[in-house]
Amino acid sequence: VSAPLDKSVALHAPPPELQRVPLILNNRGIGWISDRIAGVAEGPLPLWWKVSFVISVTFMTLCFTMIVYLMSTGVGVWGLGHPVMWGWAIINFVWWIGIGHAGTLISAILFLLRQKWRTSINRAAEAMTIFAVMCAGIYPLIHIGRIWLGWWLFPIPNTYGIWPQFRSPLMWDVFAVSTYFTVSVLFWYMGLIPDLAVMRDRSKSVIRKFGYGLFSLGWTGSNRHWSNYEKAYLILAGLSTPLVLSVHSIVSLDFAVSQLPGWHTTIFPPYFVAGAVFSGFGMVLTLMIPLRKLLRLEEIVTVRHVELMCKVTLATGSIVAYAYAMEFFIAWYSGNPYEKFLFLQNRAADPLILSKVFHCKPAPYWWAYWIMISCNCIVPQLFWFRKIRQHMLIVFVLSIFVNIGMWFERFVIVVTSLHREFIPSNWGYYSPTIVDILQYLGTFGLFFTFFLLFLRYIPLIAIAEVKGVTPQADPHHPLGGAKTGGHH
Amino acid sequence: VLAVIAGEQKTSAYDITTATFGQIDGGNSESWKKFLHDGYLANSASKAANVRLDSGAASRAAQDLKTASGSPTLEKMDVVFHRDYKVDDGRYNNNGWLQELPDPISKLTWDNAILMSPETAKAKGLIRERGNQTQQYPNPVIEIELNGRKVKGPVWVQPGMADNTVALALGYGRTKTGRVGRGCGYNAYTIRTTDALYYASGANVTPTSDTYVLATTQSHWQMEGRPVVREANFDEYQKNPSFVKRFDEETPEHGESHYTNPLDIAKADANKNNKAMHAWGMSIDLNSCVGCSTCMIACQSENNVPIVGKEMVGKSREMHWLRIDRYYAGPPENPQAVTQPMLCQHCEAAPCESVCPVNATTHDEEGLNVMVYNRCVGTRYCSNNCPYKVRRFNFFDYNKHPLTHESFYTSPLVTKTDDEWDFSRWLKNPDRGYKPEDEWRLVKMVKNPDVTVRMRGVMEKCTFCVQRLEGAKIAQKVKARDTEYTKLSEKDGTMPQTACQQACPAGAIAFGDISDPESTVSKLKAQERNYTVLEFLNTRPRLTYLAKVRNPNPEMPDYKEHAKPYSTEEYLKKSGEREGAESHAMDTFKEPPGGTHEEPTSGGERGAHK
Repeated sequence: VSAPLDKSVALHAPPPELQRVPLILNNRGIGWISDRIAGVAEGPLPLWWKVSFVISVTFMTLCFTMIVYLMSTGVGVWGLGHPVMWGWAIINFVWWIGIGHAGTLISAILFLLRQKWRTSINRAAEAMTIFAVMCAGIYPLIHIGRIWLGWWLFPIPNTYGIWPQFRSPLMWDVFAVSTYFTVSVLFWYMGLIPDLAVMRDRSKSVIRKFGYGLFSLGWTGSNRHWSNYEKAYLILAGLSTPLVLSVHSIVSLDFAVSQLPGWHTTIFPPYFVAGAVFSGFGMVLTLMIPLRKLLRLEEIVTVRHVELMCKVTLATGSIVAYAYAMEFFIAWYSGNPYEKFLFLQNRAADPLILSKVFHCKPAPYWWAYWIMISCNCIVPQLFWFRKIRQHMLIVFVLSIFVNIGMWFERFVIVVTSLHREFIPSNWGYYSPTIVDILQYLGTFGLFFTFFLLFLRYIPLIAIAEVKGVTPQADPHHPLGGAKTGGHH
Repeated sequence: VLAVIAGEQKTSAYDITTATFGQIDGGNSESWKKFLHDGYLANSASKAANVRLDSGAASRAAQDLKTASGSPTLEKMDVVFHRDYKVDDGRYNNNGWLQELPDPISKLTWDNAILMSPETAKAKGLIRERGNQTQQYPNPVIEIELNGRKVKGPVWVQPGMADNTVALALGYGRTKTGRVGRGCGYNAYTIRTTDALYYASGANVTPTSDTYVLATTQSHWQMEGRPVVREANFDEYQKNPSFVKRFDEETPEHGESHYTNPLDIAKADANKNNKAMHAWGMSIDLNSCVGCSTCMIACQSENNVPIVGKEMVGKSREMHWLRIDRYYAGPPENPQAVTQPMLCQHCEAAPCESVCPVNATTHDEEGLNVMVYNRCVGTRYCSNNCPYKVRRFNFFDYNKHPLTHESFYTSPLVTKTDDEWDFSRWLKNPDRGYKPEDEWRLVKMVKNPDVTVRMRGVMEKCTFCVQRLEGAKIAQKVKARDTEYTKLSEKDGTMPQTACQQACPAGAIAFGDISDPESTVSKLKAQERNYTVLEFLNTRPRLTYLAKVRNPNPEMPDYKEHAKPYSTEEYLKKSGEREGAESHAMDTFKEPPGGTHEEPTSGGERGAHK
């Protein structure tokens, strides 16, 4: 509903330097948009898709092979031991869950905030979220000692008369992650319905028609459908918004509730959420930059979109950097010698500078800490520069650094806190085994298998929504409305 | 019997004895009777030897000693042969419990090593800086040549060893031994001759390019100024008997819990319901503990704790419910060592309990932190949240694998036992395991039938020998019949003992009912030396320690410099800095300069960094 305009007010186009770059370039028409996006999922299979699919499936097989090996042999196939009882499994779980944050943030929070640029990336980001949460969800299940009893974590009434323990943050995790996954899938599917109908209508084969027809739930695009759709979308966006904050807060409580120095800290929930959004956007950039090139979508996922994502990455990266600094400050300010020891001598003391300054031995994991700092605090600061934000290759490389940095953040939190804590006789060192590594690579296979299938069978950009943000769809846009692309 | 074997005609003991007597005394039967009556034979003492001082011989011997050994040098080292603490001269070489028992001082398992002082190792270039603390060290191998005989073995840098001396534990490297002892260590007998059974000098030590992986159960050797073991010297103890208190950190108050503590329930209806007749507690006197590790074996045998083998010890996966921590304090060339038995502290506010998602570890009304193996799914969160790290996780089916297996890492999907695929064996009977039938039958007899044998993927820990407690309670209830004398008490001699307590030769471990003020454990806990490890975490353990009091001679010269135990000095240095924290901002991170902060490390500690 547009506000009534005083007809006497002349609407002037802003001067060129203030004009925003449109969200869809080149003033493309709506037919072109449908063709271009739906076209990705139509036509013969491109070679790159086939090659990447074979590789992904191979790695996915590896993932399941490793799970079978793990289940049949024991958790000992991983590098765990006393005192580091959590290792790559938990690191990867948190990492994947973190990545899964961008999707819902983009689709829900940015929707409520009326950030129209979200439409070009929300579908793919949501798909990424769902697949990332699937990868994440594997780990808590398989990392337990008796995998076949994993269902005991669910409150299922049973004849044993046993019940989960709701004081444990691992329980909260079960609910947080499963709720998040469910709502994300629903939200994603809801948004898909009009586009599935598009696909149905464009289908030439009976099978495709039937398949898309089944899942588009009889969508006709009538006003009544749209009206219901918009309401439902808004409600789901409202439901998802708190989830964006709750999931990673609760994941952070897995650590914060314990009393281990380095884990036992109240800063964790906001810090984890910021980190998750940071890593999520990092991953969206990593995926979207090659895709827009490969699928010739530069006019829909524009440089401006990439720039905006870079800005979110910069903002959240700075929050994360602040959190790191605050952790350090509190470790000193608390006066707790165990906290101090942890931050300096387990994490930060590098062999060159800090260990000399503070006269201590280098921290065993100083390299992990400094990889984390470089990737999460220093790298995103480069996004202050417009030149860098607009250079796709650089952004792509930096986004990979963000992913690496966030993986190391979890490594630092999980491993460096555990390996040397209260009683020195317990101290140890953790290194992963080949099984840990292959399991991690395997989840990439799982992720990309699903993602490639998604690219191939589902419109990777919300067709209907993108049309809504074209200049033509906005009667008040200087370029838009019925004014056929002209200025006033 | 010997006479029969020797082919003598007289085989009666009486005849032989009288015959011998006759040889000494001339065969008089009267004197034989008198000998039997008196119990001794008069005038039968050995004749005094005619001794004359040969001063020349004495000085010659001294001369020999000087030239032969003198004080050992890097080129001509002294060698000490000692019987191993665990396998003795090798007779217990095939005993898995003993092989896996960490040496009380070096904490080595499954191997012997060549012990060497830090100084000597440095001079020989055998120390390499190590940044981390794995429990398996690739240690440099050296060759010792003594009078033309040679032996090779891994170096273990031992703080407190004499310089230019190597110590070789006997009893390892046996070629003819059972399946447990095979391949453990090197054979030190190779260079030991009857000329020098215990000490030899003039050994030539040459480093080789080889390395050998040793497995130890404790990789960090310093207390880092943390008041884990608290000590004082005797005069300080006299001046300030409650010296342990000064090590205490500020402890927060316990808030109100939304959950009922079983102990409160127990208090509330102690009269109505007989669930909480006792309050179990333990006290360990660090003054008495010498670190002999007998308690570890007692615990292992009582509680069906499996051995895991060298490879697993190297990965910090040993299963001992009770371990002995050993710390060095002071300069590495002459440190003070302290030992501390560490086991589940049975915290009243146990951090492990609140984080278990499946309620597998909970509290009972008598104050035990109980572990429900059947309920455990193995998230291992409890271990992460345990500040004492006394929980043990069964990473592989240690109880089900045969001792001769090649690796735990082979999936049972591809292995066979008794010509049957392990997977199909498992399908038929999941409890059957991968041991050959004969070994399986044997193992069944080894286990204590009162204690569950835990499977893989399950957390386990000290139970305060709950099976003994329950056994004693049941026995007492049977005795009590309808009367109300169901309570166990020390006075009546009905109080059970834990396995470690029973085995401790020094009586350092006391266990009992702390609700009874007359019990030994209550009295010990009332002592001023009583303290709680990591008391500031407010876990309120039922296990407390009695601090160690050293009694050095105040007249000794080094007493003037070190009037306090080294560990206390280290603690004071660290905490002193902590108190000055307000004024010196980041200075608080500084470690004390000077010799004492240098970690007295083993060779492994500084061995090659992988």
